[in-house]
Amino acid sequence: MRTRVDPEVAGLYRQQLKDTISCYIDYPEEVVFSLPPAELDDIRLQWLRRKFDAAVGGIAIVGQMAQQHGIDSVGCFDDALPIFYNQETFQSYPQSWLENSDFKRMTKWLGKLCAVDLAAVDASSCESIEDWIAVLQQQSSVDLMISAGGNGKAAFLPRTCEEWMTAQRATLWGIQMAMQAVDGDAAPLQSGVDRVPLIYPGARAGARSWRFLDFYEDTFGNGLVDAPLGYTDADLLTLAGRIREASRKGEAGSLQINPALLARKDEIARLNAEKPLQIEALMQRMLDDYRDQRIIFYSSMQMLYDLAMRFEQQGIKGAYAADSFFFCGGGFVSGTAPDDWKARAAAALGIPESAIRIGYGMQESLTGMQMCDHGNYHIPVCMIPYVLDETTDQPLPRSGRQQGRFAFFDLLADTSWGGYITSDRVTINWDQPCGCGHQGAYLDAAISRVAELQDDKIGCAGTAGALDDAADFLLRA
Amino acid sequence: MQYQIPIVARGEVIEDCEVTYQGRYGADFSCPDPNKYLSSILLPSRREMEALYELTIDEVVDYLVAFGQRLDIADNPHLQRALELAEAFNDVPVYLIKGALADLQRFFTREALEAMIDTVGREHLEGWKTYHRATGRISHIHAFGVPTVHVIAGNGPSGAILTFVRNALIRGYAIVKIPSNELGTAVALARTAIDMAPDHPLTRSYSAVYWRGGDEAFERKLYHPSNIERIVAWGGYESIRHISNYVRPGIDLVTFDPKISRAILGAATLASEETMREAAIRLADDVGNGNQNGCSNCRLAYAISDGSEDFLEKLMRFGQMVFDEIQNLPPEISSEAIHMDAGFKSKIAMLSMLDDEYHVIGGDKRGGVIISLEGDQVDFADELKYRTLNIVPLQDYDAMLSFITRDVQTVGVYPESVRDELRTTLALHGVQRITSLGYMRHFDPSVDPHDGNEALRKMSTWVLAEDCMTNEVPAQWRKPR
Repeated sequence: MRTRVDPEVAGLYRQQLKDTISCYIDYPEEVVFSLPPAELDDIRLQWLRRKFDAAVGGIAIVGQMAQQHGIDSVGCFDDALPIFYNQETFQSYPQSWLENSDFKRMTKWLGKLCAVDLAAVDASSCESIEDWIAVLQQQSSVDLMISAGGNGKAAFLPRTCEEWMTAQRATLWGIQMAMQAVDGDAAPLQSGVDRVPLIYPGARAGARSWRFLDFYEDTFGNGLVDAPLGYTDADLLTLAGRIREASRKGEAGSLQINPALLARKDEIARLNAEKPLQIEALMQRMLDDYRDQRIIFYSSMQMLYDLAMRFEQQGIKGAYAADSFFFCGGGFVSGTAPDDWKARAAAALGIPESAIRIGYGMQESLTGMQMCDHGNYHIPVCMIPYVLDETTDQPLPRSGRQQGRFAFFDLLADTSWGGYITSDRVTINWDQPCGCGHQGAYLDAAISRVAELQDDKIGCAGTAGALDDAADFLLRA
Repeated sequence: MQYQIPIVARGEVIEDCEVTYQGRYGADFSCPDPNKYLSSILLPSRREMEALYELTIDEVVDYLVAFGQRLDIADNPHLQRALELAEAFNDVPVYLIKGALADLQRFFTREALEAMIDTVGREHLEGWKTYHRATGRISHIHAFGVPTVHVIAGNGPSGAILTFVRNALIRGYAIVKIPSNELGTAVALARTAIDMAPDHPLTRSYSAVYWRGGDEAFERKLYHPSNIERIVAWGGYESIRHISNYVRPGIDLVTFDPKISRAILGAATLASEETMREAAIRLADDVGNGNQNGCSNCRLAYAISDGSEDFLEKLMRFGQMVFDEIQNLPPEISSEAIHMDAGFKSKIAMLSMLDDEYHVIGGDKRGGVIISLEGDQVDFADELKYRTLNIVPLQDYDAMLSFITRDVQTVGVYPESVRDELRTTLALHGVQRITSLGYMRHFDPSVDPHDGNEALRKMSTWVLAEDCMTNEVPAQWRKPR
């Protein structure tokens, strides 16, 4: 869909973008994506320099890495790459601190990752991660984000409330723009007018929850969010990973695990048992209670498809109001999308295909990206993309079509550091315009994990203690 | 760049390379479709193995000695090709592989082969060894080779070589799964054997095939008790996890598990400049040899504190000495990292930020030494690489032993008295080898126990033929009560 962009508005936008990068959310999508790539890159580079200058003095780890790499200024995008964070950065505390409830040192460590001054935070009385989160909230602007897979070491991202607010506004903008672009009845939500349930099959609250849910209710009214998993307890969430880490240190490690936490292992078993029931109960509500209503549903592709197929099996077409909206991502369990899945799902759900939006994002960035009608993910203006050689992590040329490891600098990050190297393999198109009319670089739909390539390699070094079921074993003991 | 990796199936080279795999470091390789050639890879009948048992062990040894003489990389084009493949696909520097390939021939001397035979007992390999049992029964015991898949490690050529020798000595039928990081050696050996004696039963009993590890369609067909009786799997947690899906009654699994190695520095280590220097030189070799890719590389050293006030200061100085000695290692033994992953680098960089807790020396492509000032090993100690060592000061052996798990293969000790004092205790904690500091790479699994296994004995199937009549043992039901 190509819309003519008012040159006056575009001029105002590009001027404002130089002063406030987040201003793009005050403009319609066609304006935001109308800047010629070279011009946008000039603005981004200016921003990167500002962010770098502030962080070198303001974020201890960035300052140290810059010094180690002899970087004192950023001449071009690639100059900043050696000081990007990666998953390891947010997990780089010694596990024993967590087990010994040494949150004083955890706080000091966290303070080195961001520009927020945490020196005055007194975490000495904290006994659990939940306590620590509460103390950080009370005594600083940090609203801690946790990422922890079932087995990995917990990663702590020091996001401030202000940053979260920026993220929520950017998310809402994304939703509104997507709804506006739908062929048919959907239109952006109006505060005070539209009361549309937002259904999200995840946690409603807690350190791992999607912060947008609160913002949505604040904006459109209480009681609109349906997120069945309740409150996620950060200590329980991380326990499996902590046991796994500890088991690598033999008896010494097992002795380190906080006994108070270990005593709660039954709670984990209960939560794990309840989760499928809660999700199924949500599915039932969607099959029955929400029928014919206008809804917004945020889920994995697999879940959206499963829902639609349940309707299809019952012979139901048009299950929801035609102006409903579906956001999904994450792909299918089998790794390949069923043929024609979108059309079949749209028919069952009763919406135009364009009301199913696919997104790609990660928690290390404050914004995500959406797939356009031409099947490409457009990179937000506030994000500087990089594609790296997968083995050397060296940047690939910023031209043509390149495949490799995705890295980015998130210019919306304020007290956090925006540079991050992901584990995702992407294909980027730097200079071939997309048929949808958006300017700038975009990613192909196919995104996978970089690690997959190396699975087949065998070496003799390693430990069976790193078994991924070590935690299960101990939790059941 | 694309390389072709043939299948060698029972003496036949198949070069119909139609399946392409993306390798690491930008090179691709293509192979024949293993599904298409499964029947060539498998023995058509167990009777095929009879020819092996018409050979004497002397003939087997003669074959291997003659084979070894053809393994001079200077004039063996197959090994030269293997080296080229290692350069493209392995993360071990090519001269280290070259060194290992040049050293191949040591496995093929008569003396080395006889020493390997001795680990099983020549009589058990040659034929039926007789035992007279107390009841009068006469037992004849013979160790046999059986159709076996060998999933070998790819961090060097030794897996393919040891498998060749071991398989010949027990007269088994080996299907080697070529590792994606070491694509050349198994094929090179098989082709050298074909050049030498194309129809020899031993030549026809060593096949080499690449398939993608975890290719379920192929593995389901291959790993069936009617096809193979044993899987010998080296290293790689993922690879063993895949394989465990196929283990069932009728298939025996022998694993050489992924392992790591550590050092114990007794209190006497820091007693004088001289002992510090000596221990640093030795420890540097254990850390740096082969660029710390192997299971028998040291990643952690526990230093027993003598309780003196300046201990930590001295330990930091010792750490610097180890780091310097790593830099002094001769290039044929060790070198700076070639490909260094950013995640690892940033882990070290983050530790260096925590300077109350860790003292970090280096931490770049030269390698590094991390001293845990508070006596707790780093969380990723077992994943240390690029010649990086974590030294952990501890008050006594009790504190040290609580860190020892069954994942520890080798412990290097200094001074020597530590071995005598601790070997039994270490063994009870799961340690499988205790050696002098500086000698971790001196390991010879062809004659000494391999990861806690007597490899040749375990790779054999022990068959019993009984004679219950000669000494007139009465039939069970006629035994007088």
